Amino acid sequence: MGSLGSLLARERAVIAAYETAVPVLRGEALRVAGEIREQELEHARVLEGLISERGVRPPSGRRREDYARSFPKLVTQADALRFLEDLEQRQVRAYLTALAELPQLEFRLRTADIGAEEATQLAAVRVLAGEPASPNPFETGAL
Amino acid sequence: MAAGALLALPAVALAQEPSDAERLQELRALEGRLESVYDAALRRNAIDPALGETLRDQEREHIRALEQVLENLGGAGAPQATVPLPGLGPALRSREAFARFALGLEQEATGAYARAAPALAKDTIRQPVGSIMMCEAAHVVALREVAGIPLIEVRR
Repeated sequence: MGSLGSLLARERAVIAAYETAVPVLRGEALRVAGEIREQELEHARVLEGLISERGVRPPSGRRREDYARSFPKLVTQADALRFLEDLEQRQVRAYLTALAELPQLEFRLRTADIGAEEATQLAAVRVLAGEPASPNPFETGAL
Repeated sequence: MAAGALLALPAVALAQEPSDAERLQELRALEGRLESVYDAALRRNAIDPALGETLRDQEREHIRALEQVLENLGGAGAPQATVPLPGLGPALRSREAFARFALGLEQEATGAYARAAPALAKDTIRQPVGSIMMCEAAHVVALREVAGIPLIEVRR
């Protein structure tokens, strides 16, 4: 369950990051960020389900203020979008790693679906930042 | 193979999972279709040239990568023949119509990668194939923007 637990911990941190970004986001960026947060909540629910179906208790999340302490100070929308793009790059990389490393096919199939959604989120954040959605033929994310 | 010999095969052999090469050949065929669709759109000015060239060139990169992996697996096999795609003609009449048409193909390709990449037996190729899936998912967003569709689709 180690890898799934690690993906779940990441999802929770990203949910907290979107909540932290809300005060500096406006208009379309605010609306899209709200939708991405909803998707991330669903990803967390799926991962919790996969973990608990195996009789293991999903790890509990941290408090919002604990996450916030580890985030950079976001003053402008551009700050927030840069931060969110960085997080989404890491999410893409984490799901690609899971694809290679998770031993169970069922887990790989479920996390591949989530990974593809993470890639759409990364692309959407890029578009909001005025960048091309798909700058690379191979989207490998970042560590 | 004689009919008797076929009947003697265990059921598991008859219901065999596709090989890695077969899965990659299917993805290669989808990529070929996407490449030709973007080419057609560029010729008919049905897509912004910069975006169309980016998407087409990225599909070409995917084809090269898949063919390389197929070769490493023991032979790329003959490229599959492409057949005219139903609906392409009308889709080439406007940029928005084409974006919606290509969006459907990109969603189909992303789904195909999401099913194939996790099922590859050779674990060292899952990640590179997955990185193509991530790129196709980004194409979906690029086309949603052109089509005026919300960038993110939340399943409620």
